[in-house]
Amino acid sequence: MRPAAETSWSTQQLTELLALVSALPDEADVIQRALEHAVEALEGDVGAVLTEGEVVASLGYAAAAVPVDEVCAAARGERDTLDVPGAGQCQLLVVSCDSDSHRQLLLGRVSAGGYTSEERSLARGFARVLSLALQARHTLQHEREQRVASEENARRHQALLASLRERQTLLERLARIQRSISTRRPLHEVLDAIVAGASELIGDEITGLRLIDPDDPAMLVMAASTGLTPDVRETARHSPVGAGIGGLAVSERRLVLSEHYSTGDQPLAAFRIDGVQASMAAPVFQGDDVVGSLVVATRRSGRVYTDSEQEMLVAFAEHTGLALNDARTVAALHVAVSDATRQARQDPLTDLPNRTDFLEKLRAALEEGAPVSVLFIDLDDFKLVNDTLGHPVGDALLRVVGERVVGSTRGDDQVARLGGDEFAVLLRSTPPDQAELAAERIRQSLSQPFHLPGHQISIGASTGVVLCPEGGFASAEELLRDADVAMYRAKALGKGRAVLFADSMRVDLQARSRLERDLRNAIERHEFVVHYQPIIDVDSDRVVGSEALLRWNHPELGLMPPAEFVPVAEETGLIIAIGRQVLCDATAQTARWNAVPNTPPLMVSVNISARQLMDGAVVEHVREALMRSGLPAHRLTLELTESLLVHDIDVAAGILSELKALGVKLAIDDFGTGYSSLSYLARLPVDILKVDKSFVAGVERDASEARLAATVVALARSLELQTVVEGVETESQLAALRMLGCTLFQGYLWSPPVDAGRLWELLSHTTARAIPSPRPAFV
Amino acid sequence: MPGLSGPMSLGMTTTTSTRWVGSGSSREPDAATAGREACLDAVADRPAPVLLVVFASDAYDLTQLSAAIRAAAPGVPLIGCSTSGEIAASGAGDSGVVVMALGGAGFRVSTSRASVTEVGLREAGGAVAAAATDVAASPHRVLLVLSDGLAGDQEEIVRGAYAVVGAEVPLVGGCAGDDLRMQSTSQLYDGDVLKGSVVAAAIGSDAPFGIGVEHGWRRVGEPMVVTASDGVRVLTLDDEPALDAYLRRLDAPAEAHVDPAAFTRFALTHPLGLSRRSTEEVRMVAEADFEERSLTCIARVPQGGLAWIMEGDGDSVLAATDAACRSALAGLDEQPPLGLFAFDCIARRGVLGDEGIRQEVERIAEHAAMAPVGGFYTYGEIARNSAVGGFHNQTLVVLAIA
Repeated sequence: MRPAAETSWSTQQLTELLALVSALPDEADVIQRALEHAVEALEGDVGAVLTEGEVVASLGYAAAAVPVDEVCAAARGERDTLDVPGAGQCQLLVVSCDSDSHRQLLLGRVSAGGYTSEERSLARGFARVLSLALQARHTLQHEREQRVASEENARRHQALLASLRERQTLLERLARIQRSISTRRPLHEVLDAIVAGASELIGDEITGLRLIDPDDPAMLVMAASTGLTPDVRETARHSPVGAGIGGLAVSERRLVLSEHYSTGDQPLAAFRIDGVQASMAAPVFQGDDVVGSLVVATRRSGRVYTDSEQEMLVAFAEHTGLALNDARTVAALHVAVSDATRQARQDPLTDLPNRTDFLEKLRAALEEGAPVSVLFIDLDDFKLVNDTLGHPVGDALLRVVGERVVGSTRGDDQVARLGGDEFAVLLRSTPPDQAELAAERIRQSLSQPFHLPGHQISIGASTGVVLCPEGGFASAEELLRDADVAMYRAKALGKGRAVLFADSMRVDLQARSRLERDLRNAIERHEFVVHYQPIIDVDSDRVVGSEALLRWNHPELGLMPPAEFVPVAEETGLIIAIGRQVLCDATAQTARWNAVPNTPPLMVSVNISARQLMDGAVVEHVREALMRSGLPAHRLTLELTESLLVHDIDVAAGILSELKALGVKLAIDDFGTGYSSLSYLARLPVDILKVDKSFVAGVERDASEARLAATVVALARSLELQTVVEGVETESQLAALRMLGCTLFQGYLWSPPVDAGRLWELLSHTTARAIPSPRPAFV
Repeated sequence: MPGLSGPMSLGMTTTTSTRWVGSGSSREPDAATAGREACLDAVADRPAPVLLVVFASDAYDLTQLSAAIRAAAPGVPLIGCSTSGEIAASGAGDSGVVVMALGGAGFRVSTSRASVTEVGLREAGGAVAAAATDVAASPHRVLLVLSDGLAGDQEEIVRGAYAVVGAEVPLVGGCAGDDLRMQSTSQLYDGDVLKGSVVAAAIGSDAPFGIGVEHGWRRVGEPMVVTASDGVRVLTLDDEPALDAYLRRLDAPAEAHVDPAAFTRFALTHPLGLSRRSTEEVRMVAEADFEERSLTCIARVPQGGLAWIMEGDGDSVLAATDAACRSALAGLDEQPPLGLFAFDCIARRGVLGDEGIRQEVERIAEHAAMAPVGGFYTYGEIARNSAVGGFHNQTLVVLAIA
């Protein structure tokens, strides 16, 4: 048998009953059906509904054989079992449908053992639904009786409509909460659905769900709320049981309302100051225990809560308790409530102190006047992990990173997660002159591969180090900011290193933020231009195509090489828009050249960055560029750096296959320079291997480097890949590589990258070797 | 004791003190011959038969069949129904007839009938249940109910009956079949062949009855919320048209997307499960409305509830057979069974296949020891006592008689 609390079984039962009785027009039917539903849901054997102590409906007794006296005595609490002929002795459960016990629901079950607290809650819920349904019925009845008086009728009609609407809304809200739970939504979404539901139902702009703090049962914590300003939410986060309307509902276990909040019972100062005029709260039960309260409030004056609204809030709060009864939810709830109290100080992912707590500790250390150092650690390429392997893996990685950083510190040193992939360390046990050593220790521990379930991840970290000598004057915020600046410098220097802060860096930081701003403008102002470096087929001695290379024509700084702005464009994601523009320009330009009659068609190579590739839109961007330009797909080669593919070979292979399906060719740009792996290469649908200029430079130098180049070329051949050799500058390099069988080349020996107009001039020369001597430019 | 009376019929009898239960079956193609043979084997010349329960294929002329049975055991009250396959200790079969006979001084019986089409489901349930008072003198009672499963929400019949007899008299039985054509079923009452009706026998006995109920299905995947339903029709699941959600979740074969018959065949082994206090209540998906994109079940699917898609295999379904038999026998206060009635869902037959149902009936016969077994493949099962509630789908209900 499955434990009942494992699923939101009981909330479903309530919702089913609501749906069922909403459709019934007749009061006797409503009572009978509700009774049947309750008996069936609790697998009972007998049941009865009593009004003013009289049995008005029964089930489970043969017709006309209801032992009325015994049932009435049970309803009065004078007995807790009943004998059912043929079935045996029934354990009884009696619940009231309303606060005055006018109407009661009685259930009896033969099976051994009493009723669980969830079952008691459910029975109370059934009784509440029955009462609500009957109330709506009375409104309807009333409306019928009043039909003669037209004015009255109109008003009543409104009331009826409103009542029906309310019931429908209640139903929908409850269903939504139930769905949130059943579809395993995160707890905060469930709690948000509860407060949103209550707010919509009652129509007050402020709603809060207060729950008892498991660490301090005398206090309530605001687990979810709507309509509160951040300030009020902060000051009202904690309040004692018994204080305020919500606190009273908990301590008195009943509906509490105040239509004159500021002069009523123990108003909370924060709400009074916020201008709350009226408020109402209903206790939230789990089993027989009050675990919190659901509070609505308004700043409108003259607010009067109708009986129907009161009933509605009580029903909703009952239901909320049932919804939260779900075992999994209860566990999550306890964590959430404890979290809410710790939230101000702790990072929920790593359980490390958060930024606020870190700054406080740093402040305290500075006040002591002791020498301290601060490390600012930022993971390199963390976003790529998140983007390619998903956030769960990213989160798991962050947790392990946190553990490793803590493991690399000592004694009083304090580690915090500032947010995202940023960590900070306050070194107190480590003298400032050893701060860089400490940073190195951490860097080394983070450079070891991370073994996560299903993934092995290698990721580095850049660290900024700032020292505050004994009696230093810097504030905590300044120190952290300086460490941040040093970290940025570490990134700029090529990642995976630690850099000590120097005052000059602030200037650099400003320059970087200016660069970022300029980059954003550059896209709008079309300041990017594409240059082309010809690719030569030495067999035919002809230009067969070109590699498109990005240049930024900065309005003040002039033509900028990619190395100066691409890293920032990558980090900020601007590279995606820029890359899209390059694709469009390069394909359009090549198509225009190819449209000139009597010229052999050219191909064009375009570089695709890591961010671009992993962004879902790259396939669409390539398709768009081909369609707009009319360039046949096989004349476009996409160049990819191998290092960007190894992060997640499966994802990369998938995207590359989609690109291949468009008909374009794929080239690997830097094979052999980074993480080279033959097995990776064999798994990717690549056509061309570009032989990097580092190999080219080596062929002249010594025999071992020449062999290296030969190996790369042989490898390409064995994988049936074409080779394009880049960076050829001298005739002897060319001769050596031709000996290896290479035929496609690019390099300064023929031409630097040039603008489109210049390339057209070059093309008009009959042979490639006749290209006039180049003017140096950026590679 | 068992005795063969020709290759086409088989009879078994158990006698304890003055109570006895007998069974007979026949696959003789001629209705009159089959009815007569099965009835004679079931009664086997024992004294004072008090009830005949007939499960017969509607391939027979049921009027002729009933008449022949009545002629073989004159004046004995008869209830029965058409089937989608019959169950007897000798095995499960199609196009045959099984007759169960009860007799002896220890049994008291009162039969009744009501037309659902005339008085309504709940009222019909209440009307047939009234017969239970006729056997109130017996210390143990049960109400055996056979109904037309194609005539609306069967839960209402159970509720109607329960409202009359209360917790004191357990309800047990099944919905008549028509060899899976899902068009029209018949109920038998004495010599009459009825449509859209409920027939019942209130049985009183000096010895206890035991009831076992098991289904053998398990949940597949995450639950869905029944976001809109109307009685037995499920309109949306998780706000998606119910048919689409159902087909998509199950990765149903292409023909089930377009062909009503193919859909019904497919749906037979993929019921919906509704969450209940201690178990799932299984709902057979009978048909799809391809226009409206809705599903129609054999019993009500309440809006707002959670629903799972269920699946089963031969092993789980057979394990349920054992469990149902064991719990039925456990209700007999350690007395040996005189006979077993089995009401087994047609869908379980679909999962088990021919070899599987042969094994299933073998197992039931094993649990019965040498006692006779009779029953049929149903369109819905009825079992209500203090442990289980109401109307069931895709379930095996076993009634053990001591």
